[in-house]
Amino acid sequence: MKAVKITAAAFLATFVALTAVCLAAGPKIRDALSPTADYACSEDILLGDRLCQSLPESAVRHDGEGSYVLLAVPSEKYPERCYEARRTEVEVLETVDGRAALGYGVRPGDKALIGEDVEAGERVVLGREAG
Amino acid sequence: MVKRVSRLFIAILAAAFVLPAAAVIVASLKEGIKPYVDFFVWEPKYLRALAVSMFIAFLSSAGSVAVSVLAAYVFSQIKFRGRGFLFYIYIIVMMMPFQVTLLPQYIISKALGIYDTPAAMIFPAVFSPFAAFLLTQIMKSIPRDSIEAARLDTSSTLKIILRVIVPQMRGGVVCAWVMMFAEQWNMVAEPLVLMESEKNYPLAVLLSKTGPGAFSFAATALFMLLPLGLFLIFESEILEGLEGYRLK
Repeated sequence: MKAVKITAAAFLATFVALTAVCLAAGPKIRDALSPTADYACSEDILLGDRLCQSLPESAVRHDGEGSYVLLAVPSEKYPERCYEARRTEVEVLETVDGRAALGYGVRPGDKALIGEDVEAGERVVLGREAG
Repeated sequence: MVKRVSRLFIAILAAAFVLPAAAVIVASLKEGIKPYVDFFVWEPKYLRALAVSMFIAFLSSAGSVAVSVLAAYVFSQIKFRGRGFLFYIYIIVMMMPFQVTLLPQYIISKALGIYDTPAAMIFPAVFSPFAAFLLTQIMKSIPRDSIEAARLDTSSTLKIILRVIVPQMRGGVVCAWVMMFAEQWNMVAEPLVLMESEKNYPLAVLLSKTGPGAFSFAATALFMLLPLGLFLIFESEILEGLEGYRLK
């Protein structure tokens, strides 16, 4: 009986301590476990007489549903300031000097993630800005 | 034969109570420990709610026991006019469904400026009549002689309560604390009325909003852990407290 009490007390103490640690160090733990992804900012590009947004080709992904980019958007799920990858459908109009001119989906200054190890909806740590 | 049948009946009854809890734990482990990692790392809303539950349940139960010990002393040891009537009112309030007192609690919390804070849950619980009623019944069994003897050493009533009375009814105090803790831990309707920000909700409220899935089961399993652990740790004290109450 005493052993049960001691085990239960130790278990509860661990549980409460774990809760406290995860609350206090949650942002750091999440940063350590989140993938780091480089990003590129959307820039203006003139396509004939049409002003479009452009991103490096490596930021544009393709699957059965079409072309899309993963934008780094501020996450509301976590209490700390951080980003999550949000899938945004885009239309690639043309490729000029390694940059894809996009018809829609991206606004000036949007941060598009580069790299394969990020999935939509995932929390990400921003790495370096691609040139 | 009768003994065997009654044992079988009790075993079936026990299984009926244990099976839902066991099913929750089994279902939570269907995806391994991922739902538990999600709870502690990737779902800060739920972790915060767990901490809020701990905060509310601990403070309200501790406060309730502190106030109730004093109230129980008055009801059991001090003779004054209207004592029986006042205690009768306590029992009436205790018997009332909580929905009856919910609207006054809402109005008072608004007036005190504690609406939508954990204090809106803690304050009414501190003055809950249940613990006072339980401790009064237990305190009545303490021999008057020991209290009179203590009066020869000190004139401080508080010292007598803390050094003479409480040690004699340790089981009852622990029992009242654990039962109040469990009551506060499980509350769902009160937080929904007394709070409106989701960040202040205890885990019981958030659990009622989660859909089916391994994560919900893991959160439910973790929700059960604290009251269950407290019961295991203080089982003998709880039984002693209830026994003391039964003898009255």
